[in-house]
Amino acid sequence: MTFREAIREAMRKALAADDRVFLMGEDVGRYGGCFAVSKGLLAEFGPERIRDTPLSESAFVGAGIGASLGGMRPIVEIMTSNFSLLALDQIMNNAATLLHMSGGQFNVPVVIRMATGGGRQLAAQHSHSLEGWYAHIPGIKVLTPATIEDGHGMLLTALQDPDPVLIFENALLYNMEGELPANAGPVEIDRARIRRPGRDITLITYAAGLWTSLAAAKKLAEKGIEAEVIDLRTLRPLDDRTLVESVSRTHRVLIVDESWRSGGISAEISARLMEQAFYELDAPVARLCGAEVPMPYAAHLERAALPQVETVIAAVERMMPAHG
Amino acid sequence: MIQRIAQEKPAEEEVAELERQVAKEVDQAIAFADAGTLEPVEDLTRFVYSDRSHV
Repeated sequence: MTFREAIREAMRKALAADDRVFLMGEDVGRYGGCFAVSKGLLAEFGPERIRDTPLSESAFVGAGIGASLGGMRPIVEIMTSNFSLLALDQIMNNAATLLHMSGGQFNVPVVIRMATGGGRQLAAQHSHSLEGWYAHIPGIKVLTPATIEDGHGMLLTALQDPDPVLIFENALLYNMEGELPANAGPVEIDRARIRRPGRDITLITYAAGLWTSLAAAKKLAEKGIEAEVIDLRTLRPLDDRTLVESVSRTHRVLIVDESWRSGGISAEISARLMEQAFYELDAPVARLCGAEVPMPYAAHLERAALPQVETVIAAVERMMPAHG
Repeated sequence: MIQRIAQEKPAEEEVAELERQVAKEVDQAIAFADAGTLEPVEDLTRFVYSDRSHV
């Protein structure tokens, strides 16, 4: 099963189990979704449950928020995180704030899914990684599944949440294949996971960065460096406890993050580790992030703009002087 | 009523009555708010997320 199919299967289960659930977004119906995630769902569930929307993110995200206020459980698909900026007012000023503004009276149980990330030569306006921006906002949850199980289970859990949940699906992962157990169901959405235990350094990452980091960790092990790889899974809330516990064992940290370093989620994680684990650190927290440029179109430039296995290895080796 | 407003020119008295009703509702809302008490500062971070402690 691919990551794409796992997400589709989760939507299928949710649509079948709960009449309040429906999917809405650009091209999700007749076209089957820009990334084919909802392919076949229109035929199975009909146009009332799988709704093609106009090309107007602010309008249809607002409509989804309204539907959730009215008791529905919409899955709103924004084609990519780049276009979500057109709905930022709806997400931040409405979805994220209505519960607080109403003193707890108005829940907004909307799930907003969007593709994110670069690496597909779609250039500057179609390659942003904005999940870290959204993690700045109180009132929403920000999920970044990196595995088949999480692509499937996080959506199921999100649909049970009374608060807005944003799910960022890194587009490079859609074709990733793996196993999904037959009894797979909802998974927790507030904990990071150690995907590879290690002793010498902690690599903190998420989404596509997980697989880059795991590949780097494998090569580092050949050089005698055992890297622990943590998949954040969720950027809001951040699982401080798992991060601090790991750093307390390894004493060195490299954050691998595709998005820009300035004001990014890597900066937030670094600050928290400094606040909570300062005396555990043998070296400053290091960050390997996307280059501070609009994403280039040319393949070689795009590659240079994103963390790669070799740059993760080089960054780790710089932090491990005994091995350098 | 809304359809009639869209299709016909309502009588001035109907509009005036609507405005009186709205003004009354607004006055009641203001009076309710003025008579209320400010929530404690300790409630600042309440209702950012739903309380699911019972789940």
